[in-house]
Amino acid sequence: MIKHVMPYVAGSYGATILILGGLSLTSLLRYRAARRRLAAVEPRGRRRRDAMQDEQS
Amino acid sequence: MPDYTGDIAARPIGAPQSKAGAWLHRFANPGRFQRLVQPVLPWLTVVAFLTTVIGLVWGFFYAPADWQQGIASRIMYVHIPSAWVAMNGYAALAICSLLSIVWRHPLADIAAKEIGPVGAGFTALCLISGSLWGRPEWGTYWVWDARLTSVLILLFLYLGHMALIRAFDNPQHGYRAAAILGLVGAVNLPIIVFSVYWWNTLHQGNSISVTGPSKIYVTMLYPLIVCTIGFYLAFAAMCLGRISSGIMENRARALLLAQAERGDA
Amino acid sequence: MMNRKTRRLWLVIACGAGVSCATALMLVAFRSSLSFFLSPQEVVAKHPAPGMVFRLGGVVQANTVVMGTRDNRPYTTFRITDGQASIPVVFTGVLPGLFRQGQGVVTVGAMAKGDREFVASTVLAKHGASYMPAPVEQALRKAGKWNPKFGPAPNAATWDDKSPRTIEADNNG
Repeated sequence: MIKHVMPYVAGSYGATILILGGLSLTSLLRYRAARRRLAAVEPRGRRRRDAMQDEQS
Repeated sequence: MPDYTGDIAARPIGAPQSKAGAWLHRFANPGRFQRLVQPVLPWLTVVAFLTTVIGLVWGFFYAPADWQQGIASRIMYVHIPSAWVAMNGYAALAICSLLSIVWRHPLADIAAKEIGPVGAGFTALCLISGSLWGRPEWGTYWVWDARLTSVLILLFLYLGHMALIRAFDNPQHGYRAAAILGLVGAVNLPIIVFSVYWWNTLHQGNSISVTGPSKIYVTMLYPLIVCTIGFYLAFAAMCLGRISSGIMENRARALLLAQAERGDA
Repeated sequence: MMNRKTRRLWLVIACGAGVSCATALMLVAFRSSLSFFLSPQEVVAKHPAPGMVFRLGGVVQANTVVMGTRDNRPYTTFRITDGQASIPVVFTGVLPGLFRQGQGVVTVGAMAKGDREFVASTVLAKHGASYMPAPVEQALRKAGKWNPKFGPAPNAATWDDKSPRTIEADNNG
């Protein structure tokens, strides 16, 4: 019979922080990088709205 | 510029577009998606973060201990929401696959590609937390019963989808193949949900039921609800952010290509 | 005359129906091996051969647990029941935390030769789906509404909106 369950509880909350934190951090960094890169190559003088409209997949 | 942004070649010229198709294309073209999502995204992220943190702190520090499990019951606040998000995330993936196969929708392809890793993360979290609960309470980390095995299959479906959608040089081929896998894998979802009723399993039945009364005491139910809302919002924020990034990356690539071609000419 | 999208939609629906039927047939065919354990009733009906290892699951029958030591190892005998039949079990080893009378368990082992006794090598506790804070359980037990020894917790609707204090007050009033 296991009396000390705290390590297991702490372990699952630790895994939560690691996995969710990791996923959100990579998502955020990727979002920022994509934004920066698009801003660098976006042709100037064109309105952003137009630019987004003829989005190619 | 027409709303249609999919692969033009696939569309017969002059073919009448169905009503559903027209509706889908009006509401889900990548440009419109960016205009709708980008202003909302920072707020969604902040709300998701706060809700999840409040739920986790409530669950870890303040939720009452169960009468026979003691504080091990606190693992539930991570385990149950991540299981729900994992399954509904796959349902979303399957819907994207359907939109991709039938309507050849480009946004659905990008969405399916980005839902994969996030859903796999939540599925892994569900398995890890369940395992850590099982050791002290059942007496084992893992058993091959129908519920645990079907969730493990869900993880493999996510991983397989992630690999397949990135496996081809021509992304369109990857999208088609992965969409088929996504749809076939949806068969697993009802198996996960009903496994605990169809067969004898070590895993317990559902604690929360839509039709009947729930089996969780109210003071333990509130943190569970907060965690669930937080996890769903976090899933939505991550997926929308990644889809948005994917669209921007594609556009940057297309612009660079166009510039290079102009330079060559 | 269908256009391409409608045709693809029907194709997907047809394939979906096919895959679902195939899966359902497969699950029905493998039903017995998909079950994690046999209930005492099934054991009585199927008579597994002595020495054949299988899993036996059910509820630990109240007032049948006898604990002792044999060769310096904890030794337990109890009966597993599903309400219809009951099988005596012998287990040598350390029980999991959730083991108690009235608790669902899954045991791994085989029937002993001759007598109808199940020799278990592993005992796993099967947890119920209900979560109840310790004070509520104390109050329910004190009020005579439920004793964990004799079965699962009562329907949540009868106690879920009550604090421990109201359960006791109900009983007194």
